[in-house]
Amino acid sequence: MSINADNLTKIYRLKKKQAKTAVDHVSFTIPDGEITGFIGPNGAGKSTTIKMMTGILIPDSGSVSIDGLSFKKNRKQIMMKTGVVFGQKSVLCWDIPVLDTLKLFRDMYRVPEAVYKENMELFSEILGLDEFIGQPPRLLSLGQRMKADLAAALLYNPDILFLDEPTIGIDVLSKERIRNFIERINRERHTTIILTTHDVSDIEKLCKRMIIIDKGSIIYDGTLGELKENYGTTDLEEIIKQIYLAGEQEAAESRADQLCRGA
Amino acid sequence: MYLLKMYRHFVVIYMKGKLAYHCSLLFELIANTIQIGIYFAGFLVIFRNFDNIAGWSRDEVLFMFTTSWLAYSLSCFFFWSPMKDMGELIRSGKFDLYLTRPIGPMLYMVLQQFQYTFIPRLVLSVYFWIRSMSKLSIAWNAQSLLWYAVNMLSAFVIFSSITVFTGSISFWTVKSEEIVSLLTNNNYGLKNYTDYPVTIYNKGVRFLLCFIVPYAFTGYYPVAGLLGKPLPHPCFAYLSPLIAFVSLVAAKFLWSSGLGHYNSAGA
Amino acid sequence: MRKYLDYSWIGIKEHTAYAGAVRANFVSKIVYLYMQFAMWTALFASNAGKDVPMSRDGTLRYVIVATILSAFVECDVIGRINQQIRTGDIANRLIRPMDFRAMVFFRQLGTSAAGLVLYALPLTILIALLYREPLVCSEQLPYGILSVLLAYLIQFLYSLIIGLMAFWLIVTWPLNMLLAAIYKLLSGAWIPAAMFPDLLAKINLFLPFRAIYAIPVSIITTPMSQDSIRSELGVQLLWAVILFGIAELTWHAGRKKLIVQGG
Repeated sequence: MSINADNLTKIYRLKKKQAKTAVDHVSFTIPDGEITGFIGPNGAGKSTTIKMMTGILIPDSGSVSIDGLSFKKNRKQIMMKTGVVFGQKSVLCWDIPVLDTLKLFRDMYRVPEAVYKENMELFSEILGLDEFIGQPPRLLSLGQRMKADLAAALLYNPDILFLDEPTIGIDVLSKERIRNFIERINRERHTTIILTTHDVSDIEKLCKRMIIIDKGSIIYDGTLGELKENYGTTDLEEIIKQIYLAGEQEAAESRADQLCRGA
Repeated sequence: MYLLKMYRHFVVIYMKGKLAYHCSLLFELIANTIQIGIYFAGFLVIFRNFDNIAGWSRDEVLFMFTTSWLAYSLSCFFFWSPMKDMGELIRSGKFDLYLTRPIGPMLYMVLQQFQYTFIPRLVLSVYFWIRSMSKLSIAWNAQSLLWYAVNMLSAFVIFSSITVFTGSISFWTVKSEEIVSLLTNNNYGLKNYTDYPVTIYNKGVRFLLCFIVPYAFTGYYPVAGLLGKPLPHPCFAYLSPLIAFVSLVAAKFLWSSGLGHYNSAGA
Repeated sequence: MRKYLDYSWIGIKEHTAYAGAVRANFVSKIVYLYMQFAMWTALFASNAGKDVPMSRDGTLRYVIVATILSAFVECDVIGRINQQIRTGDIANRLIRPMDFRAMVFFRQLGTSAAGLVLYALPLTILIALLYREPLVCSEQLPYGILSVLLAYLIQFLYSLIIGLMAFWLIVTWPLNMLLAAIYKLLSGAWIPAAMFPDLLAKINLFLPFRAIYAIPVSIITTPMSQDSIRSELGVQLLWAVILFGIAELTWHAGRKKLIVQGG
């Protein structure tokens, strides 16, 4: 499924008369079967954008359509086809074996038995799910929990997968496995994947395309290769640092400008 | 069928989670039984010293408030825990997860829990309900029985609406725990007021219990009508379904606008 | 001493930090008191001529004084100790150069002081304005105050013991709830103990609950002989000593468990 965001704007009303434009007329299209990385400094509007794409937030203006479907009319239909993993919020039931949660999701998303079996085999093969499937999340490591969360989100073969900081706080080896898994799912199932992360190596490994958001606007939307070419270096971390710094300076200058004008 | 299957799943999961903590389930049930049992014991102690209150005998009062408690226990069985957790879900952002499911958030939250802690209250209420009814010799007929059932359903709707109403306040990240506690706390909550005939309170309080937080229509007025007690106006015996309908509409409205607010403002 | 008084100060601040909670608490006292008032008034009005162990005015006095008393005798010591044990926070407290029990006690003193000023005092003024009957037997008041102090100590020791049960229990709320219910009935905070049937009264003689509300409230509101006042105070003293012993034992056993398990 493809995602089309058209002129998304989200303004948070703070206290009296104050408002913060979190996302400012953002448009992009994510074609079917592509992995797109969203990066941006903290508070740039990344998660607000993701929340609008997942139907959690409704944009103040603009629209999101998923294969032509909208949240207003086809919410259930979209939800059946969307998988969401938040790195910081697990969907697993804390005190009961992971397997029970997976079975719950199997029935919630009406997964046919054959598909379920096939998926469970795949998850065991790549993620090593079978090693800890009988244990409750409270006894699992962070990495294992994330693998289980991924399994829960992919059990019903969603067409779109949202990953919000899936590798946060996870050790190198587990990260590697999780990335391999995401890559394979994308390759074999043609799943459209949207990934937000602060870990540059996630992007390098997984994404052909990346969208950089800062202060509510898209400041870069293109392939990784082009970006590296533009900056004349292959060190992505360095490039991103430069972009963020430029953003900060610009903000500081405009503040100083305002101050001068005020004086 | 789908929902039933999901509910079975959720209940199994919920109970498995509880059983992970050894005997705590049994202990909780015992504690609840004793807590409710002691309330009844205290009630009986009071009526050992007195014969009636405002013209209602012990068994009449018992029958009146167990009628209300039956509906209350059932309502809480479904709605109490989800609505109690709303504040925490919204503050922690976990409510987002419910919005990405193919089942609506309210239904999801109601299905995914099994608040067995209200079972002791239900069971004890049924016991005292039957006991008091058998002593009252009410002249039941098909009509009054049906009407009583309608009122019981109305009571369920009224209690559930009030609970949902208080839970929905959390959407505006207002702390609703205190309001909930003021209404339903077992020691000092407003709900306890309707364990006795509302005629013992002054006009203002009676108005509050009738039309602001309509607990009086969950037991007192319908039962007063059934037992032929004096009413402020004969129509009070027949108002419960209407009050229930209005509460339902109000709760539904607040819930939807809360959800809308959450959708537009986030947490 | 200074450091303990600091804890009292924390207790005061903690309690007054949320204006909303204070207001709700105060309203809840009034809600409760009005219900008690209406109920007992109606009971006496509807049963004129019936032989009741207490008079209408005596009962109302009792109920009013008990509610005012509850405004500062009530404490959240149980919940706080439970939490500190469950989270392992207690280990941090043990390494400080202070006695844990004294710390909890002084913090509680602070909370009670706040309760006295925020609830008990306004409530007393409100009642003085609305209920113009004499509330206390002034010649017994000095004994009454002594009895309240003893009741406070008993209540604290009792809460300390129950709070420390968290060393041995995984889930503590059922125990707390169960005891709260028993406490509510047997302490005489809800129904005057004079109205109890014989069996209940006899059982109650062997339990400490009576010493928390029934004894001090009776001494304050009901004319009694010097002898019975003295014997009631003796009963309180005895309970204070017994509970102190039990609290010591529980504390040392719990500490040992903590040290063995390493927190």
